[in-house]
Amino acid sequence: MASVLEERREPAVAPSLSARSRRRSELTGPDRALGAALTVAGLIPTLALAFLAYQMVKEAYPAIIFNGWHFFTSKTFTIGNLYAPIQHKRGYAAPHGASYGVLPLLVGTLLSSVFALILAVPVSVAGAILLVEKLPQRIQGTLGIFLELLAGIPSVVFGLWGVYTFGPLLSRTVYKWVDSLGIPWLSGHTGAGEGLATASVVLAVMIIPIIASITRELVRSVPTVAKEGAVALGLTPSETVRYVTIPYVRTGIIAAAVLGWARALGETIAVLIISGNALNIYPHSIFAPFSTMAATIAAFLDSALTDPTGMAVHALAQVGLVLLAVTILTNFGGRLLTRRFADQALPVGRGV
Amino acid sequence: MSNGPDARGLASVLLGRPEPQERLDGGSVRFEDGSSDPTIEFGPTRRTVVPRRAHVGLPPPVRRRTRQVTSSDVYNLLGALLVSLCTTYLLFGVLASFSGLIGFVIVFYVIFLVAYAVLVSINERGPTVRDKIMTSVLYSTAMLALGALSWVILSTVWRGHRPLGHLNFYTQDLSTTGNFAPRSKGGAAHALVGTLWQVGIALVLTVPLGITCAVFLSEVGGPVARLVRTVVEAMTALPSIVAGLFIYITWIVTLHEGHSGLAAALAISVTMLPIMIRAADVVLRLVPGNLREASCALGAPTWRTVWHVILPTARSGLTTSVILAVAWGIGETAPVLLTAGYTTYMNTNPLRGPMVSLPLAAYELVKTGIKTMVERGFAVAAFLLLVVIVLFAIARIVGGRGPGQLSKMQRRRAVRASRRDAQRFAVADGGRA
Repeated sequence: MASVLEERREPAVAPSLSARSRRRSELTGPDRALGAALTVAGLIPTLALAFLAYQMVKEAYPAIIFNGWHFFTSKTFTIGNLYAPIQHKRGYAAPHGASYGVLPLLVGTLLSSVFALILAVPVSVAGAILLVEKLPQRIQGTLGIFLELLAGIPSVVFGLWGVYTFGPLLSRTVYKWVDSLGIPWLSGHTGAGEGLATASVVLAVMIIPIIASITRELVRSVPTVAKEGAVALGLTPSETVRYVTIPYVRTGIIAAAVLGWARALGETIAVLIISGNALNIYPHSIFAPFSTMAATIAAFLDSALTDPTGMAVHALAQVGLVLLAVTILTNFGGRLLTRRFADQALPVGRGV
Repeated sequence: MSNGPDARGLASVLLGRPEPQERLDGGSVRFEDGSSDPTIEFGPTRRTVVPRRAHVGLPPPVRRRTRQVTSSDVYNLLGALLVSLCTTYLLFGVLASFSGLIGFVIVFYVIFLVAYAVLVSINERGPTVRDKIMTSVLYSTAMLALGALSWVILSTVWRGHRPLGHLNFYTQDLSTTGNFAPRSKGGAAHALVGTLWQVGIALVLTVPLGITCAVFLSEVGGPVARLVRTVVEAMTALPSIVAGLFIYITWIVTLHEGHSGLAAALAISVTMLPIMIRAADVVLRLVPGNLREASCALGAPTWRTVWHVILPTARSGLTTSVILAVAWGIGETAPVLLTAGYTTYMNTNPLRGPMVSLPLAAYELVKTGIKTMVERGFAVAAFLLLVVIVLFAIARIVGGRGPGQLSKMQRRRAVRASRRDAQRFAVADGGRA
């Protein structure tokens, strides 16, 4: 018996344990095929993204040349008069009077998403802390599942709720009251509740589940020892939250907020329904109609097709390119802030 | 006791020092070979005893419970609620001429907080009062959010529940339905078929690709995988409208194809793929490393390790990631809006002609502003919502188990297979004997 074991004993140099670092000579034919297939599959998303960027830039290029800096300084976005003589500028043709200015859209996108973020972050953090630290274990699990489910509600549902139920209600009650206070930018015609305020609140409700479920994971990762230490020192539960939990997850909360922000920036259909689709003006009050880049792409594409020079589609592609750049930069910023929380964040849907 | 290093503990091998043999008497550590280490000292074995504390003039310390709700907490809360309700009612209805729902709610909340603080401070000290106030603010904030989100679901289902009760909603399209047709005419079957086609095609494209890519990320590693992971993260941030615009530019502007279900499926794929990859990657990384190592130790090549060990172990998690991706893909409206076109006809050919999906139908129907159509739109939205909820529930049931944990049925199957193997071995042994 002993001799059999003796024979089987491995040579002095221990072979590597991991499948990843197997030596080249040990690879069999199927292994090589698998490696090749995996690498190809791994590169497809990269190629897809590269192709996407290439197509967007290619489609937007005439508009980039045609618009120049005018694109970022003008407040007028119109496809021009289709029945007038065609104008030429910098080698490209466009309908007479066509002007593609992204500034109000950029302002609308940033304002609505930042307002949404300001509303959503405290609520999400409060909810996540409550869920983990206060509620009993059984309710915790159920509510956690509910939270993940809420993160998956289609945005069109939020949009319809906002325009038919929530917006009118807000307009009748809260907006009327805020308007009566007479604070400069916070008073104006509230209408049926379509506008910047309602869009921001609905966007906030949309991103609360996303931020809250990431924050929940972070709060769960706070070491119990630290919390026990705080309790042992005589801190009350809310002081423990303030001096132990919050400092521990602060960076993670920033990252979660940035991810939620990316979602709010790129949201199309809900904003398209609720924004009131104002063109070429800056919102003069918080209740005023406005529009965002994403919503404008969706709203304008049909009429852009009627442009015989094709410049309108090019301009929309340029808007899409700006939106893409803003979103991806935001997302990377958030991820750079918190490399160490990257593994803990749950993969809950888009922008997360 | 002399068969090499195996007999001694692992620590002694690692430290290059023989393991201490005796530990029972006091003094310094004495080793097997007679030498001793005076730096390691311990006293004679005696049980550790906590010294008795003399409570001179002090009450015995009470163990503090951090998560306990006492009856006085409940009474305080109820009392504060009652006080604030009565006071607000007096202010608004009787004493002063305040009015309005919002004012009522705000005044009620402020008075509640004050009353609660006063009630708690009768028995407790400052920090506890602050803690109670913070906790109630926390609760009310979270309740507000949860209430709003539940309201989204309930109001959508309520507005659309009436058409959902008619069978024709699931079997007819809207091609012959007039604007004032009753609920017993017309339905959303065309949108349902469109969604099935579009998400089906997107699944066929993204599931193999997504899982293979996730296996690449978790099994191959290296700088290329790191790059791919960054790209996938960037893609999850991709606004869905840009995905739609990309397919629109490529498919309709460049290739001169028309709006079709296939174009919508491609656009949905672009948004689904990164979600799929990220979810599957997280699941695959949870597969315990020792399973991989055991497989290697048994001499399995990498492809066998992946096919027979890693993928089966992560099966439930991978299923969950697929279901989550489907739930997200079904709800995508913006890319479909640009690429699928809108129609009221049933179109079963994804290659030609406009093909509407559920979320797009909900949007377009509500946009018409006609009462019956708005109701149908909400019904479609409610149906979509129910589908998503069911998908999430299935994902939770399937993915509730950790990697490698077997369900009851799987365990029974494994037991049966093992029993068969044992029988086979017994027969083989008997034959040899």
